[in-house]
Amino acid sequence: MKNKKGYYLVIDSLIAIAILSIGIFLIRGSLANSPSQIQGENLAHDTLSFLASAKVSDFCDFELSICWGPLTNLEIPKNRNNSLLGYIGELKKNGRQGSITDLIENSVANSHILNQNFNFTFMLDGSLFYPRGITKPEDINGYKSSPLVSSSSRIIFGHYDDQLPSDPFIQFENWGPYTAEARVWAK
Amino acid sequence: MQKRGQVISFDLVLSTFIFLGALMFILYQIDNASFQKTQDLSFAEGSVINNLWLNMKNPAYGQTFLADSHIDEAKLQIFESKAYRDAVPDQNFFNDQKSLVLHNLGVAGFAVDFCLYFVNGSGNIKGIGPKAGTGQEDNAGMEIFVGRNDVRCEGAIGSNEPYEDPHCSQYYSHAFIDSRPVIRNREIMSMKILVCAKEAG
Repeated sequence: MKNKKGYYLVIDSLIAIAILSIGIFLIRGSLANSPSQIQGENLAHDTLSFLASAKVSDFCDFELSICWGPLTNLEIPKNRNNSLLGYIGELKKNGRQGSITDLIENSVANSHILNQNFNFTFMLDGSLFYPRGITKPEDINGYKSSPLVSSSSRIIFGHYDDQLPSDPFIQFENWGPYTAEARVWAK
Repeated sequence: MQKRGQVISFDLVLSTFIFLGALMFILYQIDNASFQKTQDLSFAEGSVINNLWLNMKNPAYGQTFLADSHIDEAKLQIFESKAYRDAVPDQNFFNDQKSLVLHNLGVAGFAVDFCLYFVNGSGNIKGIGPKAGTGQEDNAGMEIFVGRNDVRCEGAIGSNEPYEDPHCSQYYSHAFIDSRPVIRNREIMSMKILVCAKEAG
């Protein structure tokens, strides 16, 4: 009887050690695979910098009135000197919210430039434009529980020349200032 | 007899405590060392990547192929053609541009190698000339592979090599990757740098 009790204790302690060890290794494993803060910060900053430095003229032939790449199927930019971020401001001014989402989708989300460990959102004046169909980042799966969220913002403003068919005069249109924000978080 | 049983039980409990204590001590030491290593590596990652981008954009290094997210293809080819470390040092220090750009990227305590390459919007590697990428493979046995067929970083590649996660050879103990969106040949691409590291010594 006494011997049996000893066996139980030994088995009990072995099981406890096994559970403890598995727990510790699982915790250590999950920490080792987590994406780094540096990656998140760089990704948010780089994405916004890229949109600010890439020109619409990189993707449009204004003589032939055709655009390609991220500007495929979007209206021809009115200001030929704009960056992609400037063009986004132009689209917002003209109420082309859907085109902004298309542009972000084509230039950032579908271009293999995002790190696979991170999710990405793009906001303009606090409104979410990417991902499509969601209004607040909090509503996206996994956002609230993410251990790492990084953000980068810029104030954008600009102008373009506009001419209505019925109006012989060219109108100088200002837009902005808007706050553009790229936010990434670890999956 | 009952006393003997109590002694055995007490012995068992005590030994379990000692065992657990030793186990926790060992795990703590391993964890501490691993945390230290992670911190070092994180520092290395930050230093390497930030230095690389800064060096690339610095006009003092001559043929700067990256400006405002745009890749100058001709200058990229020149950069690729440079040997990282010529057998005979260049008399003109600033001609050894690749060495300069990659200079100071190494972090004390780590042997670090690099592979710079481009992935287009379709997920294919776009070679630099006939090569998959360009970089530094400074030590014998240290190799970086990209693409489906384990092409070496500076190995020959087809015009459109399907992309797969690049990897470092077994020689290295750590790897990290960073990327920047760029425009190359009027196409959005991801300029990626794979860093393979091994603790020196």
